[in-house]
Amino acid sequence: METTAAHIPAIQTEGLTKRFGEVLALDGLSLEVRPGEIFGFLGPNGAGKTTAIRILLDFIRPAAGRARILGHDCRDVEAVHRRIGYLPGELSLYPNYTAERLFRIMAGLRRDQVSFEYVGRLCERLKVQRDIPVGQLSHGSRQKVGLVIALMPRPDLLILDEPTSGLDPLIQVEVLDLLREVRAEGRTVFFSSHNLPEVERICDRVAIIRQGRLVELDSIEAVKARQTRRVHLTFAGPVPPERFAALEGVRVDEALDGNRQLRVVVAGDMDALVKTAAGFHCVSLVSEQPSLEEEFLSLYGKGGAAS
Amino acid sequence: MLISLLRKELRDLRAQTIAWSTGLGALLVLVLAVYPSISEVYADMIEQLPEQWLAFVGEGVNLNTLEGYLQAEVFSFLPIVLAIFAVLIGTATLVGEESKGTLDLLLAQPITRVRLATTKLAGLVIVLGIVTAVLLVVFWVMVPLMGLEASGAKATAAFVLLWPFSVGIAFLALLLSQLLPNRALAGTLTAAVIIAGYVLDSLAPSVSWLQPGRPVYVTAYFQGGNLLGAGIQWAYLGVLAGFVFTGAFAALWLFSRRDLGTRTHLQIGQLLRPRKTARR
Repeated sequence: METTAAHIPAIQTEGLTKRFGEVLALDGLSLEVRPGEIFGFLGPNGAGKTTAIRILLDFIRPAAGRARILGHDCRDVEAVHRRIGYLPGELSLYPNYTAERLFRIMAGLRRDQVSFEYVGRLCERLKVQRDIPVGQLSHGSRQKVGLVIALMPRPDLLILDEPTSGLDPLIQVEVLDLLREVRAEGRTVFFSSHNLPEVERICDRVAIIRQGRLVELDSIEAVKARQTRRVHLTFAGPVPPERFAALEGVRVDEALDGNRQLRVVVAGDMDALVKTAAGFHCVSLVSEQPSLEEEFLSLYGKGGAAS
Repeated sequence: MLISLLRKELRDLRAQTIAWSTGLGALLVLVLAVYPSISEVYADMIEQLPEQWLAFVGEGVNLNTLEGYLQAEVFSFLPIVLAIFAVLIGTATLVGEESKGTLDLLLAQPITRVRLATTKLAGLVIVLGIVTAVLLVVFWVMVPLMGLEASGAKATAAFVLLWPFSVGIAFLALLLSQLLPNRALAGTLTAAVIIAGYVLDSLAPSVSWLQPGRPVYVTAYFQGGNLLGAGIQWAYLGVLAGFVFTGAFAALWLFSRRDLGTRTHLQIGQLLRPRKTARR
């Protein structure tokens, strides 16, 4: 692990654009990942997540824009890759090799960067089978081998594409604990995932991309706070629904029980709604806690996702 | 050069190297074993063969001698069979790993594409050298065993020339695999070039209008047979040596510039774009 100045972003992309034939896979993606955070990178299949990650790793080249990792141009692979660990979304390992041999080969490519005492600890925590050819392992067991390969050089930046895919729940918890420890050491995790509750649980900030464009980048709390929420109000007597419908950001979906109950949708904060409701005898106010998944779905809308 | 990666490459190719060395070595043993009994038959047969047929067998071939027999019966097929092995490993080394997805695992480590590819090319050169060396050893074990007499330096040189030829074929396959969408197409095209070259090069001595095309018949660049017969053509060897270096350089250049894992079509524009202009 090398020290990184706190002001240097772990990842910085500016206007990354990539086209595959007629398909615009990335359309001017700009984002910044701060050092020491766990950064969630969300989007449906085909949104451009993997394309962005492959550009960061210099596997593919952008048509326009640039990417810097830990202060280096992403194409300076010897300097950059020494400081990153990567787990691909579709992990392919050499089936005839045992995990142990793979660890040795990968460590050999990193010279003195890997401590096998640490590799042993990782294997113990993730329950990795080290002496069986990886071709004979289950998907989840191979994923654990991939995680150890990514983690073993103690990189300043971990780029993980669906890291908990195929893992059993106990190991998933262990992986998330490991990532929290990485963050606690001041290192950074770039976490691409479809598992929204998991992202919500572990990430500090989240970026959502759609059709190659960034549609959201903020802290988990801020993203959730901006989400529309459903509120169910019950009053002791009838209330005028139009008073509520006139409020900014409030939509009345239903008025029930002779206008004693209102089901409303609120975008933004609840202040105006609460103050208006306080003008009547309000028996109860139930607000459904938004999840990141709901935010994700609302951003993509029905059929809005790229295929 | 990355020693740990080179070791891995050689280990990955170990089974194929043993299988091809054993197979080609056994074939060589068989062909040499029948020489004493067949040489007399050949002597009678040659007298009755038409000139055109002798030309097809090989320029300046004298089947009565071991050198002539090697030229006609060993170096007529051995370079072709070895070339098939070269095509297989040449197309597998980068594109094979790319299509399997294992290339990502290697390139995520702190090594440049050029260093990775150079190491893999070195692996090919070593493996083809091992197979050639096995054939040479088999030959020199068989010669005294069978009580044969052979021109030492010439026969050795003829076998050694299998090495640069097969390396050239491997690099041609590698180069085509960088240009074409998939490994199978690159392998098929290289094999087609070799077979067409073999047939046309064999017919060229008898068909006058095929003779000017010899520089494009790839098998003409194996000069081991000529060394034992009509005489080596140094120009061909020079071109082969030049191709080995330029082919390797071109393959490295293509590999270092193109997108990996997106082998739908050749992106000429991307290859020609200067590196720095990719930045906005």
